[in-house]
Amino acid sequence: MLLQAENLRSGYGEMEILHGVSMTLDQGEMVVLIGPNGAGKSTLIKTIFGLLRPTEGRVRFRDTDITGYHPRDLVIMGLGYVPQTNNTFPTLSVLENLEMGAITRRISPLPLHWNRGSDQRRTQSRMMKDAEIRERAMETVEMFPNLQPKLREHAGSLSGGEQQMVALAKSMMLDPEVLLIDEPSAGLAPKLVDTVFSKIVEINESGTGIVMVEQNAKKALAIADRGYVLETGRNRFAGTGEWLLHNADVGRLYLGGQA
Amino acid sequence: MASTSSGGIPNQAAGRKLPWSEVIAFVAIAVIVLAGVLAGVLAGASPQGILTNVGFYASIAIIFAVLALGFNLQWGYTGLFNAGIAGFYLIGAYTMAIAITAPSPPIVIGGIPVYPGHLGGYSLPLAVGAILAMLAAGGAAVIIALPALRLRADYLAIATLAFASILQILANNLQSVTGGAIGITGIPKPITFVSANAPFLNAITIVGIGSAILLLFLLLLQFMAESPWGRVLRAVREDEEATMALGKNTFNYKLQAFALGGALMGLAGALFAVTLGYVSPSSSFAPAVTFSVWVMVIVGGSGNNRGVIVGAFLIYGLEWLSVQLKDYVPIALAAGLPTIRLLLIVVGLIAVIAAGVFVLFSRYMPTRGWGRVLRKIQERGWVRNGTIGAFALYGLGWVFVFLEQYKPGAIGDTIFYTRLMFIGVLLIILIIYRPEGILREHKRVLR
Amino acid sequence: MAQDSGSQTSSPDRARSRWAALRPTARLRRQLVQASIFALILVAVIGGLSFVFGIIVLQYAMGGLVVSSIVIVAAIGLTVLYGIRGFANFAYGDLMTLGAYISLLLSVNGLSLVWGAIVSFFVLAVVGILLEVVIFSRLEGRGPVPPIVASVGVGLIIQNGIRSIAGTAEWLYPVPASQDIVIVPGLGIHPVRGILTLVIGVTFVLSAHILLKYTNLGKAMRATADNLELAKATGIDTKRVTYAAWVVSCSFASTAGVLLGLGTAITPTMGFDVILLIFAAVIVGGIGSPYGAMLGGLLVGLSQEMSVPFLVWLERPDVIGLQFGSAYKVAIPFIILIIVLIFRPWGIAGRRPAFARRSYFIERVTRALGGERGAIDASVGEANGGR
Repeated sequence: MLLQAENLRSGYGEMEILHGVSMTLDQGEMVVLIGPNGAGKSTLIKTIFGLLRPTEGRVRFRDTDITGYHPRDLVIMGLGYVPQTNNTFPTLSVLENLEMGAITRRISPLPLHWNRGSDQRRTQSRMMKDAEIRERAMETVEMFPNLQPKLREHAGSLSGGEQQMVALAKSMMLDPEVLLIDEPSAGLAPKLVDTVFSKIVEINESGTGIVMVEQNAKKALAIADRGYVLETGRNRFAGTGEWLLHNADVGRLYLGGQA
Repeated sequence: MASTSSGGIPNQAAGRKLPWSEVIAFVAIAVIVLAGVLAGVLAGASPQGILTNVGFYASIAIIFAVLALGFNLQWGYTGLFNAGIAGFYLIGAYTMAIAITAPSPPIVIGGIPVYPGHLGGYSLPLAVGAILAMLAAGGAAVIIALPALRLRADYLAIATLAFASILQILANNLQSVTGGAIGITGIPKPITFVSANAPFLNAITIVGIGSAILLLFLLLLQFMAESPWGRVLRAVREDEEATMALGKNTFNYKLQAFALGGALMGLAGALFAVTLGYVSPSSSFAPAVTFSVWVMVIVGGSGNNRGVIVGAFLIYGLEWLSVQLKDYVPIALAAGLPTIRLLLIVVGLIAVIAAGVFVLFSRYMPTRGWGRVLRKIQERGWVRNGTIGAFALYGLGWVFVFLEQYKPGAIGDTIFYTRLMFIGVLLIILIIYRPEGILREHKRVLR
Repeated sequence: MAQDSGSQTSSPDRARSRWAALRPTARLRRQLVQASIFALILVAVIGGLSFVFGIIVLQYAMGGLVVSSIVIVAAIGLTVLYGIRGFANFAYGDLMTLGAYISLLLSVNGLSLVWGAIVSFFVLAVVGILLEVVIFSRLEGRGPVPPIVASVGVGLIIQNGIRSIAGTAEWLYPVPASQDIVIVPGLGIHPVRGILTLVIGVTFVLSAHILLKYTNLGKAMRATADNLELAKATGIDTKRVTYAAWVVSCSFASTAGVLLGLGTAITPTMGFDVILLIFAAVIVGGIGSPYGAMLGGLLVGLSQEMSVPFLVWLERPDVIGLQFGSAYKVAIPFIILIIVLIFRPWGIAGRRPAFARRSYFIERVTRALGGERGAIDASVGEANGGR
């Protein structure tokens, strides 16, 4: 069990959105969270990633209880998160965006490393020099050929699909074990959605476990190993992608209107 | 946020809460007035002189209360942050002065222009002047709001602050309109008395007219706040996007609230012109006026009309008292200063040493016994704050010693600056710890 | 092209093709062209004016450049803090005053002014961190207004503290008196107030550029200014970035204060008097954008100083007979500020952010001309129509 959320209760301020949700992710697996609007899909991955504090329940990563950890510690431990919108730094160039993705492992010339303050024993990762980080950025960007000529452009000047690619590339800089992706297809043209999904599958095949929230349920379930259906902050269905895709109840309730 | 009902202690006998914070505020105002009277008695003033002085306090406090009502309409109800209150106040005062004074031509003595004259000499009735002042200030508010209202709060703050300082420069330099640095004098009183008691009677009339106006606008604003219009304003403050989605043109509502608030500030300016009998681009319209009004509204609780009036009387009371006590301060300070300085340094030194010992020992703290107490203190952040405070005190003490030699002039003058520093400290402390105000009764989140 | 060769050729070639992607791109070329056009226009305007009105225009332009370099140093500091902490620091002018007075204190006590300025640079950096720790960290996440109120409080404390300790009299830095260096008759520049200020201004602009473009801290600062939430989720230590922003902001304030004190006299309100100029520069350049602040500072400083001959011309009785015309030069930045707020509230160099909606004015004009409406305006219109 790589990542495990148990009975999470969480929400924004006094408004509780998750009323006890559980999910698991195995090594190298791809899990999709689907459900109607307001079901708490995004809230779930935000809570896992420490952006929201759960009032009840545990999150476990490998053997560590990471409930309530700061996102920075989770990045150092090997988790990554791609938000739904605003997921690049618009006034930084693409290359600088990628460099920021690896900032926690950078060896600083001064004794002020950017992973300072968190427990360094938890991370087995290797620290990198500036040149190595740049090399790593070049390696990463090879996965995304259409970014290669635009390394020096501002991320904000790119198209929506390219920005999504930058966000994925940025989170791949540290080769995380788990990548949490929030609606990668939001606001993209259908053709681009296929490209983004194929990139996500590629990332998954390289050994990264993926938890993905998706509105585009049919397409997502088709590429996922397993899926969870949430409704009003509770688990409703769970199963393999195939099974959910062909389950009559799920189909009637959540897949009906989808293309 | 510490926002349980502010200071209300249940009073079983009466069956309802006694508003302790308001009682304390009223007692404080009474103490201020008494102290002012006492200072007058000590200085050997006549009873009428003392009463005139108290009347002056009341009339200026009323003016500040009108300003605070205007700002409360803008910020407390609608969430529009105005940093140029002094500018609207200035427009009101000058409009009133130009409208109601008799013609005053330039004075030239021996080829040297002594007084440049000013626009005006219309000798209009007081009420017309006041209405013109409100229109002018409200119009200025519309002009300044048009580009800035759609933007984030800080743009409006910067634009209004800029507006206020430009107006002060204009008042100083546009001699043909404003009379330059001398200003406009000879503004007529509401009623002209011809007796030895004229100042006293004038003070009484002004306070009477001022309180009537204040009461009128308080009732009007209370009524408007409870009306559908007021509810939309509060909705704009809480969530503008949602209000927009409900089909309200939030921009128009914001513009109306801002213009009305500006008009109220203009009215305050008109009252000021009549109260003093002259206007000049002096400290009356300095940015400090704006900041004082902020403190009044925050003390009273933004969104609470009665509260901000009490706040105005309280904060202006402190200002007034500082003027009354000015002559007694040098004596007290001269006696106390060396002691204060010594105390600062001793306290600071002890605190620095204690903090140092604590930091050193916290590394090797035992887990049981006194170590636990220490850890608990540390967890609450006392050590960090205490250390910072100790260093600040210690440093301040030495700065005092070091700078003694550069201090020019009388110590008594510093009381004005100390007062402004006090307003600064109040602003910081209130906005951090009591953003809902001291006199606040309901729980509301400040934006 | 790069990806094609990457998969087939040997590794040195592959590495070279990777680095080839780092060569100057279209964006850099575009920026260079824009910058040179801007410089050309500037030179053309100044040259044209001085051709018509004589060499006095060049003298004013030189003065404008000196003022600009002070404004730019201050505006960079203000905008960096604005970008990262998200509020307008109204105490900034008073922090400048504090810096000027600290170096004054040291320099009248025998230390040279250079050392005084360096010491106050570091003292102000510490003051910045203290302000964040003691006051502003408690106001995080409460919107833009509470920090503004608190910063006004800080400003009042600094300004009046200085008044009650050092008095309200004017002070001057003990620098050796010297004459203007005459370049051509009618055009001179003061060695300290002119040349030194320009040199220090350029140095600070360059060091800000190096910090923001070539160090990791600077990149992290720009990233945090772009998107705080994403910066946290990326693993950037946003707390450290915040402290760094305070250090940069306050130490730049100190230097700007010393330069301002060199140019004129040192008074308790010297900083507060120029705060609007600096705000104008920051807004004209686009709030939160250091490069915009450089451009905005140049524009605002130059236009303020170069408006003086025009205002003096207005003073002539046969024109409009304005009294004290040159006193209005401080109103020029305000006019620029209002124009920018109406037409481009996100700044002339900035990108249009989500919160900057179209101004009411433009919207009405566009609507009156039958033009199309922006997205948000359209939603407002629909909402109104739906009632």
